[in-house]
Amino acid sequence: MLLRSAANTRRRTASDGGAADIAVSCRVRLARNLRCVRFPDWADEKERCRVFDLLSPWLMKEAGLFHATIAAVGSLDEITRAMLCERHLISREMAERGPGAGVVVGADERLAVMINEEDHLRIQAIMPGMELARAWASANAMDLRLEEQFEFAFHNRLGYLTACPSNVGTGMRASVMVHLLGLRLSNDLDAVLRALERLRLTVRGVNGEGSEAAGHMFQISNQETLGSDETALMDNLLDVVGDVVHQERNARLRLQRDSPAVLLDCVARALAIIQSARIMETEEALDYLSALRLGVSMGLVRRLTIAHVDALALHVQPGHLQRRMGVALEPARRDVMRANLMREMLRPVVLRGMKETI
Amino acid sequence: MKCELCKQKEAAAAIKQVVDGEERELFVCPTCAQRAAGPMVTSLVEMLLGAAMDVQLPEFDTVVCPGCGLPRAEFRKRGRVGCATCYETFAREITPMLRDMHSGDHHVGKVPAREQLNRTRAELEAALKKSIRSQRYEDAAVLRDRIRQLEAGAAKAPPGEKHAAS
Repeated sequence: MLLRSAANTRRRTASDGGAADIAVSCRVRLARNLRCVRFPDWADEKERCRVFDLLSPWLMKEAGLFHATIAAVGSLDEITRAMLCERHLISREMAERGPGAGVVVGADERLAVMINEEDHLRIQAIMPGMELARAWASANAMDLRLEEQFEFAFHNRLGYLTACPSNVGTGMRASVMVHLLGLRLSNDLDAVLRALERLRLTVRGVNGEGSEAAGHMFQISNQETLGSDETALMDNLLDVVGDVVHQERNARLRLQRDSPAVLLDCVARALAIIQSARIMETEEALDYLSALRLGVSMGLVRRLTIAHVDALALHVQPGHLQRRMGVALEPARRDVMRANLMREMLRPVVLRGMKETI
Repeated sequence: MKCELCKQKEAAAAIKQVVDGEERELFVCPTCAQRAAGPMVTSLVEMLLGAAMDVQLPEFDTVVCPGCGLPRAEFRKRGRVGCATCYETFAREITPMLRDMHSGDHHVGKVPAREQLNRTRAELEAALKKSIRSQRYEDAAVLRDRIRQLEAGAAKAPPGEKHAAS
């Protein structure tokens, strides 16, 4: 089964203090299309299935993915689809698409190949922290294996051809996920985000539908794909993200020095609510977990690690929560279950220096 | 696709306009197309009858991609192409789109090994022709050998069996 989820969470987000408290994980995604076949969006279901049947057996057997698992979106129940979305293994758009769309993923979930997303192939490699070079190496190796076997749509001047012209050229989107609660608390977040847009980088909230990121997790990625090579694009991204991480670190230290009450209140309030609430929506849960994450990183919380927070941030989301309960639940019922889960999992957590109550 | 002039309404017509000294085709909404066409001399009677309002706008919606059958109107609606050939078919629209999206206009970076092989061979063949024309036969012999080597290398490792060349 694909979703031995609890065990995998740790491997995917493997972050225990250190540098990963701000730069959570990074990702390289390569968009590739087959020559002479209509792109998924414009193809009909029969064509999409043909592409899926062509690519998936090879990916399962020959692509060198360790203990590869395949998830054909068409044959999955809704909860599993939601889980795959929450783990960023398939996109929302893909989750709604029926037969012909799917993902082949290695056991550690660090390397995955989506079939018939916006493009025929989307190779995705995830690594912890800012190890983009490793993510690139992994995605590139898969790309090299694939191109020996299949001929890609490639144009002499425009490079790799993709369904959306915004991906043309390298077809590469490199991104780093960062946790920016310190900048939010010091009211500097908007200025930083605006500066990033000017540098032609894309910033988007990782969770939640709106522009405001639930849990203060942002994904920063290269906007352009044509005119610079992969290394230059990644170097530029790492340069800027390095700077953002530095600013976030400074914001946290400034908070600790100048307004420790604000910082402590944010963390203590989140913990108190988590430990008493009986109803909790996803976005609310993610926001409180974000505060705890900051608390762990600043040494304000005991008996909790960042890896635990990240795992819980995944397990409170609707798909994971319903899988855990083993049944499909109405949103209102989910909110109760979520509050219960949070209370249960975080019961032993205490603020540092406070009298322990258990 | 949004109107390239007002950037608000949907584009529905193509007009020619001089931008930065070069004539460019712009895709614009009907209002902007009329405005660009300039004030029209119409008689009062025509205006009252509404006949003058019926301006013929140049159409650009009839093209269909020969590669995948995607009509131009559909491409404009989606902003996504249907196949690789669309990049040639809809080059008129895609070129300005790319100009807005990217700072470069040609691919720099990774090239599929197969493509790289073709490029190298084309370069060698061009050099070979040149050296024969200028009667540098020694150079030509070297180049011919390299082309043969390249072909032998490609034949020895057919797709699917060769291993990742870095």
